[in-house]
Amino acid sequence: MPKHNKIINTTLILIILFSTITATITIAIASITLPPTDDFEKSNPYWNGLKILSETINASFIDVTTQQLNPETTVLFIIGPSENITQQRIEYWKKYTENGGTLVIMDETGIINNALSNFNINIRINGHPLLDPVFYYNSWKLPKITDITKTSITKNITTIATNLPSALNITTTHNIKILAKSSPFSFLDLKGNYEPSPENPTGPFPIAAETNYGKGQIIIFSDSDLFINSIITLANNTQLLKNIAQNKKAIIDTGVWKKSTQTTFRNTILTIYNIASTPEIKYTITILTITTIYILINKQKPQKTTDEIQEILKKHPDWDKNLLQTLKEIREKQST
Amino acid sequence: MKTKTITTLTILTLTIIIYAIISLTQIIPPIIITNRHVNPATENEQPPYSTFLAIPILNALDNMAKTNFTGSTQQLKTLASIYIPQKYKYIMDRFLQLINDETTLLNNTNQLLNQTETLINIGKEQNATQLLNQASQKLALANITYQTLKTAADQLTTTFALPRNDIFNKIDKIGELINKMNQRLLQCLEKIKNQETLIETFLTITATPETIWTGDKITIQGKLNTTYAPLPNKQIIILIDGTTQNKTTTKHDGTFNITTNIPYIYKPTITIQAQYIPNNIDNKTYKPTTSNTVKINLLYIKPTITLQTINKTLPGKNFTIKGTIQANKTLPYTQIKITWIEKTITTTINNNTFTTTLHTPSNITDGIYALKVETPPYKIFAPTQTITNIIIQRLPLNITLNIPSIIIAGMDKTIKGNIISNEPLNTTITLTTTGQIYTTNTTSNEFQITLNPPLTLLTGYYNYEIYIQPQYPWYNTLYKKGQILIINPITIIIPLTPITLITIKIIEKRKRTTTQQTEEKITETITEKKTPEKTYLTAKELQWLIDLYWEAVTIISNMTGIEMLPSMTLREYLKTVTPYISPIHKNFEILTIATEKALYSTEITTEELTLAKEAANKIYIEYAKT
Repeated sequence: MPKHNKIINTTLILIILFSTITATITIAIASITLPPTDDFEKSNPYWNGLKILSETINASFIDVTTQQLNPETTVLFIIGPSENITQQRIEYWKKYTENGGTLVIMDETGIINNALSNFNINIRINGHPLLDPVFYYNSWKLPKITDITKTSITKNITTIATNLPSALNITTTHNIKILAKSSPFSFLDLKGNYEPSPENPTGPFPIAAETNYGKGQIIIFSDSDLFINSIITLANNTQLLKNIAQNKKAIIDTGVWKKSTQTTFRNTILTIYNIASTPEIKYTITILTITTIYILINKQKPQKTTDEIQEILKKHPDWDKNLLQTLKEIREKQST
Repeated sequence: MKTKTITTLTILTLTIIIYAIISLTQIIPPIIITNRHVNPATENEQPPYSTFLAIPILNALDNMAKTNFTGSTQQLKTLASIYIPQKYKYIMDRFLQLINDETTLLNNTNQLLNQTETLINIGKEQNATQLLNQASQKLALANITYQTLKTAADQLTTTFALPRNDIFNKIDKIGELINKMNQRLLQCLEKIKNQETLIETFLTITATPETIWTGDKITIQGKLNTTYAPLPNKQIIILIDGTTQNKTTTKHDGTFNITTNIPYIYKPTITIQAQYIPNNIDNKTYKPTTSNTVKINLLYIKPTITLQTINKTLPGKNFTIKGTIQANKTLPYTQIKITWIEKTITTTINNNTFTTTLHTPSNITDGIYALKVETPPYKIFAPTQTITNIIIQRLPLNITLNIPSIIIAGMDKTIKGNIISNEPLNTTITLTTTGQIYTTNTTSNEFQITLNPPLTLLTGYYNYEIYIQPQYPWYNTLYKKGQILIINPITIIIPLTPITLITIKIIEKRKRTTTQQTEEKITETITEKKTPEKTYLTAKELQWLIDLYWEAVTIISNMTGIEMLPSMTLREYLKTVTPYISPIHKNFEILTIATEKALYSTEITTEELTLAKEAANKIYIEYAKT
C-alpha cells in the first residue's frame, strides 16, 4: 500500500508540473498573440495605441537611456509621459538636443513641466483640459485647430485634430515660435465639468510651439494624442507627423511610460523569446533537447522479473500456491 | 484515459488562475492620470454651444447687411467648419445655403447697379437698361431668398437655442438693404428715362501720326456736335488706353485740336478716345457721349538678354554669370538688376556685356531656382528680363567600407573606409552600432574606426549606421546602414561547456556499460561451459526419484522408529532423523535435496540424479546390514 501511494503522489506531482508549464506557455502565447491595450503601445491597434504611427514613419520604440542616438539622423518623440521623469533622462534629452537633435514633447498633464524647467525654456503645459464648443470633432473634448502658422513643420497643414488637449503657457515669445492656436471659442476647463463658465478663460490658446535649443530644436504640443490611432487619421495629423519626422529616423522614448502588468508580462515574454533567439541560447537549447532525447531513448529497460511461483503454477496448476510461496521464502532465507 | 482527463482539467484550471492573477493586477492601474484622452468612438455627439455659435452667424448677417459681401463669405466659411450633429445638420446646412445665396444675389445686384450707374453717366443708357434688367431680376430673387431665410432662421434659433431677437434684428437689416437697392434701381430707371429727353451729342476724333515712338507727341483733332449744331466751349477728356491723359475745350465750331505726349507705354498698339460728360446745367440739356476709338502703332526698342553660367552652381560656393544685351541702339543705361535666391544686386554693363559673381547660400536645399536678369525701362527702351532656371544639386558622396565579416566581442577591430569624392574633404564620420557612437575626422578621405564591441554582447547580427557630414556645404551628407556579425566566444563557451561535458560523460558511461555487458557475456559463456549441465525434466520423468525417496523414508522410519508426519516437510524430516542415522545421514540428505528439486523446481543436474541414486543404494545397503 505505501508503495502504491508513492506512485500516485509522483504521478500527481508530474501532472501539476506539466500542467503549470503548459498553462504558462498557453498564457505566454496568448499574451503575445493578443494585442496590448496600454496607451501609446507600439502594437496596440485600438483607439489609444500608436500602431499607425509606428507603421507610417517606421518608428523605433526604445528606452533612450539604454542607447546612444545620433542626434543628426533622428527625431526623438516624448509622447504622454505617465511617470516622473528622472534627472538622468532629462540630461540625456538635453545633451541630445544640444548636439543637434529634434526633440518632440507631447503632453497635456504637465508631468513634463519639470523637464521643461530644466531646459530653461519659457514654455509650460497648463494641465487644465482645453475644450472647444464650436470647432470640434463629435465632442467638445476633441477640438479642431485651424489657426496654424506657416512653417516647414506645418507645411500643407490646415487643420489639426486633438483629443482633450491642454494649452501652452508661454511667458515670453523670445526664441519661441507658436505653430498652432486653438479657436477664440475654446476655453480651459478649470472646474473639470466640461462645461463653459464665466470663470473659464477663453481662447485662442497656443497648442504647439517650437524653439531652438543648442544646435537642435524642441517642438512642444500640449496634447499627447495627436498621433494615436483614433486621431492620427483625422484632419492633417498624418501629414504633420511626416513633416516632423522628415527623412530622419523616428524614436519613441518608452522609458516615460508606466506599464501595466499585462504589458510587462508580455514584454518579459518577448524579451525571453528574443534572448532565446540568440545563437548561444538557441543552440544550447537544441543540444540539450537532443541530449535529453538521446538519454531517454537509450535508457536501459529494467529486466523483467519473472515470477517463479507463477511459472511453476503454469506447469502444475494443481499445486498449492501458498505452500510454494512459503517454500520460496524459506529458500531465500537460507540462501542469505 | 483518467490521467488524461485530470491533466486537461489541471491545465485549464491553472490557465484560468494565472490569467485571473494577471487580470486582477490590471484592475488597479499603476498610475492614475485623469482625463488624458477619450475614445472618440464612444463620445456622445454634442451640439455646438449656442452662445458661441451665434457669434459667427450674427457676423455673417451683419457683414451682408453692410454690403461687406467678402466678409460675409469669410464668416460662412468659418460656419461651414463648425461641427453640427448629424440630426441637426440639415437645418444648419439649409440656413448657411440661404445666407450664401442671399450674399451672392445681393453682391451681384450691387455690382450690376454700379455698372448701370457708370453707363448712365457716359450716356450709354441702352447698355445700362440691359444691366438694370438683370439687376432687378437678381434683386427679386434676393427678396424671395430673404423671405425663406427668415423661415429658416426661425427653425435654426429654435433648434440651437440661439438668441432670436439678435438674429432677427440682423435679418431685418438685410431687408432694409434690399429696399435700398430697390430704390437705387428705381433711380437708375428714372435717370435712363430722363436721358431719353436730352439732346443727343456726337463726338468724332482723328489722331496723327498713326505710328510713333513711345513718349512722342501726338495730335488729336475732333468735333463735338448735336444733330443740328456744333457744341462750343465744352470740355473734352482725352483717354489713352482707357486712362485720362489730357483735357481740352471745343472751339466756337465745336472742333478741338490738342497735341499731347504719349506716356512711355511699351506695347505695339494703343487706343485713343475722347469723352464728353456734360456738367452743371448741360447735364439737363445734353446727353454724355464717347468718341470713336483710334488705334496708334507704337515704336520702342526691346533689348534681348543672353545669359550663361560659367561654372557649376553649388551651395556655399560662388559662381559666375556672363551675358550680353543686344539692342538696335546704344543702351542708354549702364546698370542692370540681377536677382538670385531672394537677393537683388546691380551690375555694370560694359560694351553691352556683363560679368558678375553670385553667391549661393550654403543652407539652400537642392532644387531648381530662378536667376533673373532685368534691364530698366528708359524712354524708348522697353524693360526686359530673362529668367533662367538653375539646378542646384549637391555633389554626391560615396563610400567604400571594409567591414570584416566577423567581429569578435571584446577585441578591437578596425574598420577602414574611403570617401569617394572629387577633392579631399574635411569630414566628420559617425558610426553608431551596438548602442555605441564612434566618431572620427579625416582630411584625406581615408578613415579608420576602431570598434570595440563589449563582451556583454550576445552573438548575432547588429545594425550599424554610418553618417558622413562633410564640412563643405556643396557635398551631400551620406547615410548608410548595414549589419555586422559579432561573435562573443564567452557567451558561446559558457552554455556549451556543461552541455559538452554532460555529453562526454554520457558517451563514456555508455562505453563503459557496453564494455561491461560484453565482459559479462563472455563470463557467462565461460561459466556456462564450466557448470554441469542442468537438466529440466518433467515431474513424470522424475517420479522414479520420488519413489526412491519414499522407499528411503520407509527404511529410515523402520531404522529409527520416527515416522514422517504429514505436516512435515522433506527438510524437517531430514532434520529430525539426522541425529539417529549418522552413517547414512549424508546419503539421506543428498536424496532429500534431489527429491525436493524434483518436486518443486524440476531443475536438476544429471550429476545430482546420479548422486541421489547412489545415496539411495547406500541407504538400502546400510538397512540390509541391520
